[in-house]
Amino acid sequence: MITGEGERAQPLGLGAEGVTVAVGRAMLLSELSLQVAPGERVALLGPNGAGKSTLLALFNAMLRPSTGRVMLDGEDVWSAGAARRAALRDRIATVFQRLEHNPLVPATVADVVGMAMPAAVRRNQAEVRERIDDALERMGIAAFARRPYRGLSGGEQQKVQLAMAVARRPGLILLDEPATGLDLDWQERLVAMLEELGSAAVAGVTIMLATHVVHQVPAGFDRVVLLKCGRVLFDGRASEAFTAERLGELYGCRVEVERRHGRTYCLGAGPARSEVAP
Amino acid sequence: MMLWWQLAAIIGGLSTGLLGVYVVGLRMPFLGVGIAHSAMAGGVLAAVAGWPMLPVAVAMSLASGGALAWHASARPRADLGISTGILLSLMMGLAFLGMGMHRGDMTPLLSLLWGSLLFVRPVDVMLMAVLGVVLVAFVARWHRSLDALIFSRPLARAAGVRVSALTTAFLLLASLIVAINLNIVGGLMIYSLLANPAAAAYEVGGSMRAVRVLSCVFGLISTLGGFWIAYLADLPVGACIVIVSTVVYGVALVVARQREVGRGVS
Repeated sequence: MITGEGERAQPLGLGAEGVTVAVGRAMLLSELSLQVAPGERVALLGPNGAGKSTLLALFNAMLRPSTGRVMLDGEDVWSAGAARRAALRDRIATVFQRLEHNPLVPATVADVVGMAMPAAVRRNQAEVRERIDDALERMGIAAFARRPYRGLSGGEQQKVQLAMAVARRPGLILLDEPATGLDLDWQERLVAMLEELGSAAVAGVTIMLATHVVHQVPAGFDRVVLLKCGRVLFDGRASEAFTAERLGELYGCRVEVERRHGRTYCLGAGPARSEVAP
Repeated sequence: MMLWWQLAAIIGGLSTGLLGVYVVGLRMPFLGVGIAHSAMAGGVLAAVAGWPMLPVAVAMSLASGGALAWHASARPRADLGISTGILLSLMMGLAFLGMGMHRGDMTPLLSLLWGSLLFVRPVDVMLMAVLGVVLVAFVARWHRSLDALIFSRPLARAAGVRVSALTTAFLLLASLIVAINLNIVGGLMIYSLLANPAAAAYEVGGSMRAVRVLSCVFGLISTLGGFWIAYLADLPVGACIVIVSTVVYGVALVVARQREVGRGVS
């Protein structure tokens, strides 16, 4: 669904080696190391402020670490030259939690999808148009093409962001809380889309999904990384990550875990015992 | 001579109209007046020192554009409107300091403030035309990246647009165009030519392509309309251009409001 019919993207491997990100005295990530193989699907879970968005910004080469190395396709992103970094970025698509935009600009949905094109494609008008039409068609929002982006609801804008990722035909997709603002129907469609990506038939893209909602992690994801206070709390299989004990430690409260239709649901069951007055 | 005046009005209207789309889109409407005051400060200081005014004015404009670009790169979350406002106040201070120190004829200095289409030389018009062509080529080549830059910086960066390089190139080109176009309306009024036609186009344009075309048309109406009114009624050209461009913006607001009422937006 994400990669084009005619051209299969080369999946991108990525890694963080002893990465620290500090802003003033705040430590957003601390000595974090993580390796993701090409084609792997990784869910990144953690409470607010755990460092999920920071890690995604590192992997998109939008943020330089204070110390440590960020690797894309086996190369140190910040040792590579600007042109090589731009070429690597062209193979990445990012879906933001919410796209900050200037409401003054009367861009149509097609215009916005066009803005997201990789630099190598941006000058080829015919290919840009073909990719826009194809992405909107694949996402089922072809009817939105001429509508002004600023007039869309939050959920509709999120669908357009997914179309932008599709149009880039990437080797790596970074999704930062992509279900924000989507209605239940679209949340389910998003999970189904990610599950489809996880199947061998359409493999060809590496995916990193950051979320704090456990049931939004599709069943086909190979690996779950639990992140807390800028450190990796757990890195392994979903069945081992999604236990009441681990999720309780992650979120700092008591939780109950239920498994339905291959997915895990995490339900809050009150504050941590130590916080309950006797 | 009449031909050169009209050519200057046409080229000035079109180029400031197109430039204004991105100046207003970047939310830095004070760019025009900030850069214009840099040119003025350069011109005034050159007059005080006995140097040729135009090259120093252009150099000062470019230095200011470069400083703004550096600030935007060093602090990506910086509000360009605030930086431009600070630049404006500094350059205004320098310009008036120079005027206070100047002991000779004030007429050339005042022409930098108010401008005069009627004293435009053919060489100025040709320079304006060359810069206008450069601007059109720049926008044609980079319009998708420029649109991404004004629409959403995070999107532009994630899409691989080289935000710092593009912002720097745009600001330097804008500085040059503003400095050369000072002859039409002067430092105090060029703000309106960069802001009003583009703001009007954003009110009524349904896409970025429409905004670009409409802003050029509104810029043309402002400069040519202002010029002819000034010529026929023997009034100051700069003031007439400003008033016409403001009327254009007012009409656009009314049209936009009528459309909203038509769509049932309260």
